[in-house]
Amino acid sequence: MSRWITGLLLAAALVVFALFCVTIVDEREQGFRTFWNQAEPTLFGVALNRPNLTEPGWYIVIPVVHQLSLYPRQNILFHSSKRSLNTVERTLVDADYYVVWRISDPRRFFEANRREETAVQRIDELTYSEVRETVNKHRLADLLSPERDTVQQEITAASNAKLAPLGIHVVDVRLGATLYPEENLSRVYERMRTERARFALKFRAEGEQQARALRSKADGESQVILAQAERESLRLRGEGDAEASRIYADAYAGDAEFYAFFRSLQAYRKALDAQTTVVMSPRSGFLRYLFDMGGGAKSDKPEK
Amino acid sequence: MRGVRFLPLLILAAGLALWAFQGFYDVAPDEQAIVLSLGRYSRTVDPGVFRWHAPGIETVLKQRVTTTLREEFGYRSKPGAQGAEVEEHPEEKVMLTSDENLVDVDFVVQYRIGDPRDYLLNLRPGEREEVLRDAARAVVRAVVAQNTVDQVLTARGLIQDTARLQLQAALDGYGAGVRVENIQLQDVEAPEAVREAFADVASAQQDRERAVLEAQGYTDKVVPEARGRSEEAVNLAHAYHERRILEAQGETEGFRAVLGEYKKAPEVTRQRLYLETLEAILPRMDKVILETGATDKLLPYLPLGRRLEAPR
Repeated sequence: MSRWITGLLLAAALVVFALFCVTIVDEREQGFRTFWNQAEPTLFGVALNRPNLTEPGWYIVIPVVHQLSLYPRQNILFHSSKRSLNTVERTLVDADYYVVWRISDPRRFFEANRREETAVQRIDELTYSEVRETVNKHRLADLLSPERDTVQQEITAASNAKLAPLGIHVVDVRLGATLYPEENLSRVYERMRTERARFALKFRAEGEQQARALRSKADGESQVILAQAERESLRLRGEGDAEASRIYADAYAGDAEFYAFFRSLQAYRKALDAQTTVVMSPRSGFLRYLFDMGGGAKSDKPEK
Repeated sequence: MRGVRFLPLLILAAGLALWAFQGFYDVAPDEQAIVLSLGRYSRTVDPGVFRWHAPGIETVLKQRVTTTLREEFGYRSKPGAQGAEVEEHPEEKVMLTSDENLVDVDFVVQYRIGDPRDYLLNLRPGEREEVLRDAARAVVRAVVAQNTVDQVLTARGLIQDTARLQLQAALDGYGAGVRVENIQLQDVEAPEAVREAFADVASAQQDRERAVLEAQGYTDKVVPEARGRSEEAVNLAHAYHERRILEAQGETEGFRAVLGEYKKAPEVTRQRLYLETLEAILPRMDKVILETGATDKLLPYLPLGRRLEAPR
């Protein structure tokens, strides 16, 4: 009876001890485990410890015997402060950037940095020097074009090469703001204003040009239209006159002498008015009976 | 005695029941949960009640996933404030364009948690928003930097779409587990200091259009006028043409008629026409009748070219 209970208690104690010896490392973590403070001790050529616990799962960590340092397995953000950078053409640019990184090798990370704060400091220094050098090799125009991606990839690759020995993998480095320094802004604004003024002038001049073109075209067109009308009407008038003279000629050719007489009479009716003074001889045709009933000899027409 | 014998089993059973009971959990309708089994991802759980996990072996992490989240750049809506009340952050707005101009851009990113597993496991809890903010800031600036200031001011749709795709790609690279719904550019304008100059360009463009319109109006006026005048001239010419012919016909017909009469009795008709004419014209004229021989002597005394003023 009491053997039973003793056995049970013993078993329970064993289970509890076993539980103490097991550590769960979850997806968000990874660990560096040492055996008597040694990473890879061997006993008769048999490895006693696997130091890098990078996969999630349960691991044996016996108190006192093993030491475990847990590190995040997640991606970690580092945000730089604002930096003054020089491009290849010596343009000063204020820029900041961010780094997404993670611990790729807990053992190396432990050996090189031990603590995350130390690592962050190194990342700050190293990425800054890479950013500075890479930007220094490019023109500002490169940063303001699809080239920017290439520049960022260059920085990422270079930082990775430098940080890999420290157990750090750099996932991405990106430039945030790239701006002119405060003290250069007024000059930039001045340049922008000048440029805009040029555009405004150009647009107005273009308007003037197009308007002039349109107006002159309209004037030309109307002149041509009027000239054509002039031609047409002169032709019509001429034809009218020609036709009329033909008709006159046809009619009067019949008796030219009578025509001269008849037409003269018509002309007299029109031409001689109250302003006219005639001096008439009694012997003229019209007055030949005035003083002579017999009518005497024939005489001329009245004269002026 | 029998009871004492079974006591340890009873305690064991009670302990098991307690342990099992602690394993129940609910997932709210707006949540999803992921379960880690001995630290390893095992499953994603949809909303429901009386879900069970093995306590001590499995861990449950819940996350709200249905709400659309937003991050604002260049301004912050005041929490609880109505609509338009915002707090400006001008330092976040200024961006460089590809033609090295500056432009002020406000924007907002709307996103959802696409995959709770990635969202919960790949980034640290305190840094998730910050990663999104930094990435969005970098991406929008990169896209703006690839466009000229005029493109930025006019083609905001294109910039929004490009930025959304690039931001999604960047966040996927970090395993952020986030789905970017959209990026909306809010106010896109020239910086305060040069806004007037930009406005002048806009009005210059309008001036150009107005000048062209006016010129077109001029064309529309001048050409029809010319056509009108031309038609007028041609019509008058037509009329002249007709009139001349008709006049000629009229006159000649009259003449022909008289000629016909004349031919029948030439002497008499001639006489008659002559006398009728003189009869018609002489009454209104001043007349001086002089003997034929007197003309030579008196003529010098007659005021020629001037009307005789002798009273009658």
